[in-house]
This record gives sequence, C-alpha cells and structure tokens, in this order.
Amino acid sequence: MNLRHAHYFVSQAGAAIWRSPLVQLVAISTTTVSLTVLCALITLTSNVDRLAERWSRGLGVVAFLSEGVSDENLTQLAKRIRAWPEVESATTYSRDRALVDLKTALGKDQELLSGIDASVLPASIEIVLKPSFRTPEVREEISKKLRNRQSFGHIETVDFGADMANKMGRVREFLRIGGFAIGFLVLSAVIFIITNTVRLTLFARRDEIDVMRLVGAKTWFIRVPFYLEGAFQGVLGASMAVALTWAGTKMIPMSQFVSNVSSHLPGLEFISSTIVVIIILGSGLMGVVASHLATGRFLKENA
Amino acid sequence: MIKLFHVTKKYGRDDRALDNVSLHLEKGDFAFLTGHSGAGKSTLMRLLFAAEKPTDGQVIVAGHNVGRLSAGSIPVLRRNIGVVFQDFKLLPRRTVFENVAFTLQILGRPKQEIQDRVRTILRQVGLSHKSKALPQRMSGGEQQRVAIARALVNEPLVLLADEPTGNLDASLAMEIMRLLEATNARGTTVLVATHDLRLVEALGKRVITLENGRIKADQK
Repeated sequence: MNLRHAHYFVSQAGAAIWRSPLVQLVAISTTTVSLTVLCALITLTSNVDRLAERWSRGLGVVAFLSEGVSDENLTQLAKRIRAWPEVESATTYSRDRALVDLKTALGKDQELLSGIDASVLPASIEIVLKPSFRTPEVREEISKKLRNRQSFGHIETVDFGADMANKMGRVREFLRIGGFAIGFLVLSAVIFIITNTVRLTLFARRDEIDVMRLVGAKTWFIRVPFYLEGAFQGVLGASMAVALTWAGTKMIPMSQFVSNVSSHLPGLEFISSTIVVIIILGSGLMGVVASHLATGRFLKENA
Repeated sequence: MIKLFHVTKKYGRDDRALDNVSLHLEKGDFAFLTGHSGAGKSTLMRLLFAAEKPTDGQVIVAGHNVGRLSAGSIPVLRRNIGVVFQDFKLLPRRTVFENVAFTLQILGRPKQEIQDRVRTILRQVGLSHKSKALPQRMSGGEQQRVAIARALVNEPLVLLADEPTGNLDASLAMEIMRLLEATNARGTTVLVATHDLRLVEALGKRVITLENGRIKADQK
C-alpha cells in the first residue's frame, strides 16, 4: 500500500458515507444507543465499586463483651488490642456510655428508653484499623483473634460488617456479571448493525466491485474502504455514547430526587479516560471486524 | 499464451458445460470461439479469467495454472488479461476517462502515468473527444470502445471478449472487430467468443467451434 492507495481508500470511504447519509445516521444512532447502555452500566459499576470500597474502608470491628465485665477489664482488653500493629485506635464503651450514646442517637425519641437500665446493653470496644489494613480480610483476621476464648474470654460476639460486606459483594458481583452479559449483547448488536450497513453499501457498489475484481484488484484493496466506513461508524457512535453518558453524570445529580437520596453519598463520577479511549477504539475495531465479516460474506457470495 | 489440456467443467453431477476440451493459442494469435447458445463459449471464457475452476484438466493462461491458483493469486493473473463483455460493465457515475483510469488507479500507478496512458488508449479507440462524457449518454458502440480501452489500458498479454458485439448493429460490430484486430496487430493475443458467423467469416481468422461442450472444429 502506498500514499496513492491511502488517498483512494479515504476518498472512496468518504464518498460512500456522503452518498448514504440516512444509512449512516441509522447505523451511528443505533450504535450510540447501544453503547450508551454499556457506558451507563460501566459508570454505575465503577461508582458502586468506589462506594463499596470507601464504605468498606470506613468499617471497623466492634467487640461486644459479656455481662459482668468490669471497667478495669474493659480498659485492659482495649490496651492489649491497641498494641496490635493493624490497630489505629480501640475505644471502650461501658454500659453507661452505651446508653448515653443510644439516647443521643434517638434524639427526641429517647423517651422510648425511659425505665431501661444500662445493664441491658453490653459494653463494647470499637476498633479502628490503620488505613493500610482496612480490608475485609484483615477485619476477619482481627475478628478471629478476638473470638479466641483462651485469649479473650470476656468477648461474647464480634461484628466486623460481614453481613453488609457480603450483601455489597453480591450487588457488585451481580453488576459485574450483568455488565459482561450486557456488554456482550451490545458488542454483538454493534457488529450486527455495522455489518448490515456495510452490506447495504456493498450492494449499492456491487458493479464497481465486479469491475475491480475483473481488472485485478486484490481482496484487501476492495475491503479497506469498507473497513474505514465501519471504523467511522464505530468511533462516531462510541464518541456520542461517551458524550451522552458524561452529560448524564453531570445532569442526574442535579435532579431534586437524586440529590435528596444521594446527599450522604459521594458524587457520581464519570468513567476514567482510559476506559473512554478503550470504548472508542474498541468500537472502531468492532466496526472494522463487522466490515470484515460483511465484505467476506459478500465477496464469497459474489465470487 | 493460452493452453487447455483435456478440460472438463461440470455443474452438478451430470451437467457438463465443457467436455475434454484441449486447445492452444500462441502469443499474438487471434481466434474466434463460436457455437450456439449453451455450447460452452462463456464457460470457457470464464475459465480463462479464473472466474471458474476446471473440474478436470488444466487451464494455463499467461503462465498461470488456473486450477491451482489461490484466491490471492487470481488478481495477479487478471492484471495480465483484459476482459470485454457484451453488457460493457462500465461504471455509470464515472466519466469515460475515469472508467478507463480506474484499472490503473487500482494498481496504484502515478497520476501522470495514468493521464498519459488513458489519453493514449482513448486516442487509439477514437474517443479522445468523449473523455468527459458519461457512458449512459453514449451509443452502444462507443460504450464498447470504452470497455475495450479499459481492458487494454494496462497493456495485457491476452484480451478476452465475450460476445462483444452482441448488443451492436452490424456496422458498429465491424468497427469493434477492426479495433480488436488492431489490438492484435500490436502483439496482444485475442480470443473473441461470438455466435455472429458473418463477422467471423468477414475477418478470416482462426475459428474454434464448440458444440455441447466439445470442440467440433478448429479451422486455422
């Protein structure tokens, strides 16, 4: 291939696109809609991941002590725990303090606790891990150590957020599997759409292709302008999908309903620039693959 | 230049379009291929430019064994062959000049060379004054001359013409034949498939007659 060929390919692809605006519009807009679904899903998954990560890092471990543990024992236990390398702090909560905290949390509804004695609430130690140890694995490890009866006989139960972490994990897993399934469907749809668009162009230019083959054009030479057309549709469709998703991430938090719901959540973040590049280039590549399939079939059928 | 050795072409199990055909055309030969419709003329021509492969036997064109050509090698053979059809196969949206230049563009020839060669060939077929015209606005004879110019612009070793005068009246048909004769005089091997016996007799060239897929006569 030389520069003259490159000029020929670009002009042929450009002419084909220019001659069939409606077909191009249908192909690009359908590709845009399909890829917008994918981009939205990736955005959602990455935001849920980020939220889960942040939430998970904020979780600590709470050890609830059995009845009859003295304040002195409580202090001793906390001191031992603070000595562990993973632990940033270990705060003790006596029964009395637990009752005060609960009343504070209930606010104007604290009357509900009237007549309730502090002895019904267990004393506890709230453990905060150092940032580099704030993982589910370390939390579970710490929890195991605390449940060891021989070392910590006064500890009755340990809560390290396992239930919530499991639930969050399942949601993330569901989104990930759903993302793969939808991604596969979307990519198949993009290939299907572009294949058929290119086939329409091929039929419109079949006389020209006949002549090209007759005078000795090689197959790749016939195919390249169609590859360019497919890549154009893929790249433009993906770029528009990315733009729409970006606009969505900017507009959704502005709506009243969402802002009420998400006031305690971190802001919605757009997908990373690396993923944007992968989506756009990947879609262009899908366009080329689709054109390859369409031209292969066409040239075989019209050999 | 063209050699067929015991060539048979079958479609399906029993339909023999060609049956044990052998023939030789040397460099610079001019021959007519005649016979009734269905005699096998077009099948033989299609074998020569590798649109089909033989079921049995060997087809050698310009040194290429058609039966053994891979899909990627067929274009190499076709660059040595010019083909002209009864329906011209011109591109309606392109001018005469663009139709003829198309072959050279595909081969990646420099712009100046394309202009020089197209001008020369259009002069030879008598269409210099129509280079900017669209094929649809031209007569059948003129369109066929454009098709011949396109077939010859790459200076092929062999020119195959399948019923090139089928859509033309007698005087235009003779004009086209004279053009093919002139091409042959410049050294190109020419094979013309036709059922127009008056033209064949008028030119007095070699005549290969096919009947039911077999060579009935080969008059040199």
